[in-house]
Amino acid sequence: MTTMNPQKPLAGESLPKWRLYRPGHHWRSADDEFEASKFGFWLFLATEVLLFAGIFCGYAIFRAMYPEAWAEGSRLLDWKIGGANTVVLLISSWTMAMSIYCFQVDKQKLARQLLLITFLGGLFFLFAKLGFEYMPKWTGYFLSFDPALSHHHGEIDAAQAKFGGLLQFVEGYGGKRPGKWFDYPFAQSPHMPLWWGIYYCGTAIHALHVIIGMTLIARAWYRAGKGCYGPTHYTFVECTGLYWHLVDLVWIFLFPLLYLIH
Amino acid sequence: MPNALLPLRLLMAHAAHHFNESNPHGEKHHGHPIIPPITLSTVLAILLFFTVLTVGLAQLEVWIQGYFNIILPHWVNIAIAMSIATVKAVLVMAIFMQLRYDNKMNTVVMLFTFFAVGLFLFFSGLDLFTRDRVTPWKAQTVVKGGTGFMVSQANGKPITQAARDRAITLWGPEKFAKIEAATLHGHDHGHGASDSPYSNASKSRAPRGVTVHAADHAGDHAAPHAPADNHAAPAGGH
Repeated sequence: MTTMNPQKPLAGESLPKWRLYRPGHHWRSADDEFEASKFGFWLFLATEVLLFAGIFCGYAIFRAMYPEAWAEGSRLLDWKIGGANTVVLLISSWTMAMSIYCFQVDKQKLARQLLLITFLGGLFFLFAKLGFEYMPKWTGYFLSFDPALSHHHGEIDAAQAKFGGLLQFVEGYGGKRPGKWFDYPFAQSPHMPLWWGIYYCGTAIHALHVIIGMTLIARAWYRAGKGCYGPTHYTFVECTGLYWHLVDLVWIFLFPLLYLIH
Repeated sequence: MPNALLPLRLLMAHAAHHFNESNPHGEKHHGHPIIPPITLSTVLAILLFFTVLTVGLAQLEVWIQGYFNIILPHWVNIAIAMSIATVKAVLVMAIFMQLRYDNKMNTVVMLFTFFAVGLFLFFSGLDLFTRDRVTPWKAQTVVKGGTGFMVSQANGKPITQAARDRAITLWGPEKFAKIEAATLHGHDHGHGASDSPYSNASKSRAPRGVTVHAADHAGDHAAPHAPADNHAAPAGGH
């Protein structure tokens, strides 16, 4: 009853797993299963968009109420880090889409390599976010190889360096935290803690999605190594791709809102 | 009676020939669209171009304002950045997420979601920005600009003022003034070049919305360059 009839291996022949895949017995065909899975995943993505809508709505309302805090906060973010992360996410979205293409035409090796590059893109994103943004802004500690450190040579307190100089402390830089944790001494607008609340909530929920996406990609990579995906069956990779593109989509809006609009 | 059943058998044979059991209603098949790499790569190139464009235009706006000493309307900045972001988002959804090639139902779901986000924004704004018009006494709770006296831990001061007082206590007034000058006015690199995000003598006008030292005399809680009383400041620092 399926359009895709799983082939039975001949004696001595071993077929890849994707050729042996049979859809659930309640489906008319493998294509029906694929399309229904994809539709279900779109419904899930809709709820994800609504989750982020909360952050975007908070951003819009508070921005309209406290424009000085938003202008000042946005100036304390470095568009170079945000821009680099945007480029990395866009490229990783492309490698994800290319990987699906490779599964569709049964280029197994290249498909796995592209999945790996996508994963590394996510890793780079998280590293830049944590190492170059969250850590200095929250604690005042810079990685010693952070290019931004050179702007603060006058305020580096060598006595407070950690891990053999890997972390350099810049006095008066940290404390850019949300709400009651706020401890940045040079804020001009009294509403700056609110800006950092939106910044950390928005980017951290997004970063959580990056981590989830990377987990899915890692699973796809692992199972692809066992030959689970091919031209007639790659539903999991497809949905992983949709998820990863959504992560990209959210960042496409977060980047200008946080880094460029002032 | 083979002859009596012949018409029925012919009909069945006819039906069996045309009836596809796995697609009984003859639905249009969407299946697995294969998007060629050249399309994907072109989309990536366009997306990267728009990223450079949006960053460049944001910088250009700042430069224009400084160079011609004008203030562009605030919506220019927002409209440009958001339009480019929308174009990028549509490209990602249409090609990378395959909405262009898929069952249109997926597109309907996404469009409805954005409609819901629009409703969410609209009604939140409608509520928060018109409270004082319906019941004037509520204006106090949503004052534009607000008070900033939000957290009891700050001992009745704005959180930002409390943070400032803590730093003055921790570093002493001279060191505080030195670091503040470096932070707000940047390090002078000569020839008027400075890395400060704020205005200074070499920038003809202050960035909109940022007035350096505006908070120095906010309220009468503490003299800005004198140590605050210690018991008011929780053990903060870094």
